[in-house]
Amino acid sequence: MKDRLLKWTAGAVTGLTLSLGVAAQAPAPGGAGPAMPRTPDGKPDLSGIWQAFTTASWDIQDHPGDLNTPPGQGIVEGNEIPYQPAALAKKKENYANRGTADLTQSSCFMPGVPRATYMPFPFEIVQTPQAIGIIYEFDHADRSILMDATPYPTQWPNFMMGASRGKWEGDTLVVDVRMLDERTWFDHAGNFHSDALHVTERYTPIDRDHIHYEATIEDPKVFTRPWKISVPLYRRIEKNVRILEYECVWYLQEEKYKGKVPAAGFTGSPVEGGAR
Amino acid sequence: MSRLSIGPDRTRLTVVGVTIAAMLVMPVLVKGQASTTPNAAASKATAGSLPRTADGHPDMHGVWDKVGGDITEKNPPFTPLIQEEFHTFAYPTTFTAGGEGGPVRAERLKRRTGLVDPADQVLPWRPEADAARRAYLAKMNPPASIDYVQLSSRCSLGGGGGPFGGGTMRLLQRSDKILMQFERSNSYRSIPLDGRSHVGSNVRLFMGDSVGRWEGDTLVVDTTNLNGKIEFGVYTYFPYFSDALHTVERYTPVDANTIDFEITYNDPKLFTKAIVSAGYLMRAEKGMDLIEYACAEGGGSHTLPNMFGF
Repeated sequence: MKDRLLKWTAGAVTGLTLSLGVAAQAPAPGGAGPAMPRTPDGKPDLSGIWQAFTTASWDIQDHPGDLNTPPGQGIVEGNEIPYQPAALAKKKENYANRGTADLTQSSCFMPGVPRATYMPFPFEIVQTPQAIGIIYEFDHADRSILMDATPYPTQWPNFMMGASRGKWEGDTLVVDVRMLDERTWFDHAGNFHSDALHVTERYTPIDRDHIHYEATIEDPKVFTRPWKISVPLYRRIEKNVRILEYECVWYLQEEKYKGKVPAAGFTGSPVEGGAR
Repeated sequence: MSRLSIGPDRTRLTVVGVTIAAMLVMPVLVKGQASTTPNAAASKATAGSLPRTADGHPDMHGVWDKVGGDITEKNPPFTPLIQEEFHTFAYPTTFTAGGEGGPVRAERLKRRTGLVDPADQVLPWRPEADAARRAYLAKMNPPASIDYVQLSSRCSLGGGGGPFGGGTMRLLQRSDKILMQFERSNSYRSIPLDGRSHVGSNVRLFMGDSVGRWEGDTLVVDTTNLNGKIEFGVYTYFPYFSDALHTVERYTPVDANTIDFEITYNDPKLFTKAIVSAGYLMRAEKGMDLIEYACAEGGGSHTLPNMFGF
């Protein structure tokens, strides 16, 4: 696990030369560089490959470094997470057990929203008027943000990456994320939520190569009030850059089972769950 | 529609049942089929019948189900992985449960599906590759090691045909890019249309590297850089394509609800010549959405522990 953390750190350390990880300011009008291109229907075109350069995936609040953790300034506005008293105790328990209890890190579970946005891996936005796809390099997680009134599929169990519906408010893409599985955390430090989590994301272009990303967190079972995180997203401008594959589950399996043989007496077919 | 939730400790229903049940709850009828002519090459839609995007190409945006594209083999070898010989099924045939299925729809739509070349289904194996796959198959049940575990049982991108497997897919279309997001394995393919080259040959991916272009009304997708860890089908006579695989897919919209496709598989390490399979995409019912395929988070997390005992 330590090796994996250090490998993930490499990308974040490179990025840290570009950003101090301070919670992003609201975008200045006009931005610093050329403007974000627009689609034929007049909306900012957020398509492209993006990455956050922050250590928030380790801890979304201010945190010191250690052998496995790069130091960072938090991305929580006000730097305080308004836990209910019982929930705060749970957070501390999570922190103590984070080596195994952070299922994204220990078991390669999809990271959920908003953590997928600030993992130290790129993601790609593909924007059309009808739907916006976001594909994440980490664990091939992905989402479809439907831009219409299709109802949330609440007849199904919650999804690791939730279900998303989007709309434009001026130049800001507002995404309403529901049905998020409670097993994801906000970071490796044990900041958690329940199945009542509701996330509202806001993607606001600063200029062509920067997006101001903000997520409002609401969970009446865990927090006393809504709270927000914000972090800049940087366009990956390398020529021919593309999303590759970080097949976390495969790597875990190889590490755990390489050179081993099935248990004596195993007679089942390995197809479809391999029950004995 | 019933809930599939069985509590936090998801069983394998989540892995297999989600996808099959997704098919169960999806009405599979497609109204107003325009054409029953077989053979994509012969079908020529008139300019007026195809919806088009602003840049003049056929509009392929939406959610699609896949029929065909499978590879069948005449006189396949017996494999201990399955109890009796039967043809390779492409993933879409799992939606025979609960309603009209792939083969039924194929009959009704009378479109070309399945292996086109070789027509006699005698696959053009290189002898040494045929011997190697038979030896490999013999070690798959029980698997001699993790290297012989069927990819569909590993929550990997390579199962069920990898990027060329079937199932429900959402396609987002831009003039510079096509994004395919698949329900199966939560996989995706981001296909640039800007004329770029493939990535360097040392980059090896489960989904390969795809570049696309339009040839008239046909979307052509060229894929290389595969990693040799793609199986074909769930029950299969050849458990893997090699990393030399190079595919060309040709998608030709026929009408607003139907896209014929043909896929050419060229794997010079396995075969002496290319194999071609055909099929079609059918537009899913309006409002249909993809259901998340959470494999490691659900039933798929039990497969290897059950097998290895830890």
